[in-house]
Amino acid sequence: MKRFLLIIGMFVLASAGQAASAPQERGEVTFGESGLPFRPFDKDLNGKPLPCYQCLVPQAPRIEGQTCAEVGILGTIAGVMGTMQATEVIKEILGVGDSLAGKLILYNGLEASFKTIKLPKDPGCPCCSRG
Amino acid sequence: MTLSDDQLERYARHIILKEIGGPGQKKLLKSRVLVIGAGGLGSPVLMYLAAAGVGTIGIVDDDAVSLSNLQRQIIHATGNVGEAKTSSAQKALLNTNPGTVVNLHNFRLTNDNAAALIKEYDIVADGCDNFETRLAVNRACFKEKVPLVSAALMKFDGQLATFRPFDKDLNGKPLPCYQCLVPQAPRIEGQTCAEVGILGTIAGVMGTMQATEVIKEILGVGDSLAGKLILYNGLEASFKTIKLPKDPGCPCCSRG
Repeated sequence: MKRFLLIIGMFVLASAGQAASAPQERGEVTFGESGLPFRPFDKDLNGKPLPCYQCLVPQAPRIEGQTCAEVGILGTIAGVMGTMQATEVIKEILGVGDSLAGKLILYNGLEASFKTIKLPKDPGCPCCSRG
Repeated sequence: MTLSDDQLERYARHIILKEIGGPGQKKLLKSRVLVIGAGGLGSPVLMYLAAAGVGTIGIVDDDAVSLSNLQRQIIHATGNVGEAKTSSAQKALLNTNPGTVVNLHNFRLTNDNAAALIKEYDIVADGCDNFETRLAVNRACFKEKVPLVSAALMKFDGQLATFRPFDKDLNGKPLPCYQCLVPQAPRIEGQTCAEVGILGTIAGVMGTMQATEVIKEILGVGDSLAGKLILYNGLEASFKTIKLPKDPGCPCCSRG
């Protein structure tokens, strides 16, 4: 049951991550972002605590005009990120492969390029770190 | 051609993008794409291309839907088991976008019939399940100068490339064809999805990336994948892009 809750929580956070994804330059065709999963209650392989979504996005950015309706979205980008998201959900359920916890994958559809960056825990995070 | 009110609303998220706009959406509506195989890769490719407004879509497949297909071949539904994959896929596409013209090609492509079909289309997306067909499709695409966006799957892995062997890269060097990468059909037994297995979502990741590259080729936006190969390892969640050189001795695209 705990495991189940973890997956649901992760999924909600990941969805929030995409809805509130980083500011896009108006008119840029494709800037997919996926920051899943978050397991801030766990440690990485080196014993370091993992970040939560709020370590990445401390507060809801005050940006107008950044929804799909307003800036546009190439439909297939939703497909690429959604299928990768489903892959990571299945890996978390099964406990196979390398978890994405503590990492962020960035996809640029126009360049067909992928970048993986490490996400550090924010020691001042109002959600997962306690002063 | 002017976009109707219905089309302006349906494609609003594309039209607002400066790389697509009204002119780009009209290009998509006029385009003709042939999809080889209505399976794990073909399912998302077909659905996303129809949703994007690709005007004419050809589907090549000579197989029927089986229950063990449905774990990844998301264009087909439980009620389609036993039906031809071409007609099952057509129903799903028309349900998504009734404006799409869908051509059904219920046969296997060979060296004898591939060129005649492929020259009727602007772009080919290959997601078939055997090397013989892939090599025949590649030869016909080279002969007819039709860009080929090709993807393949295995267990937790996928690969994707675009082939334009009749063109040159930005430095003026000739680009490779599929046969430069796979000189001949490997004599390997037991390497189909049925025999080694496949995580269903891997087909989704590779098929949606393949659809993205098809749309980029139609629109002429972004960086083409021609001359490159993307490798995805789903277990590691890692991507690698490698350069594909032209084979100067390729029996398909190099002469003497």
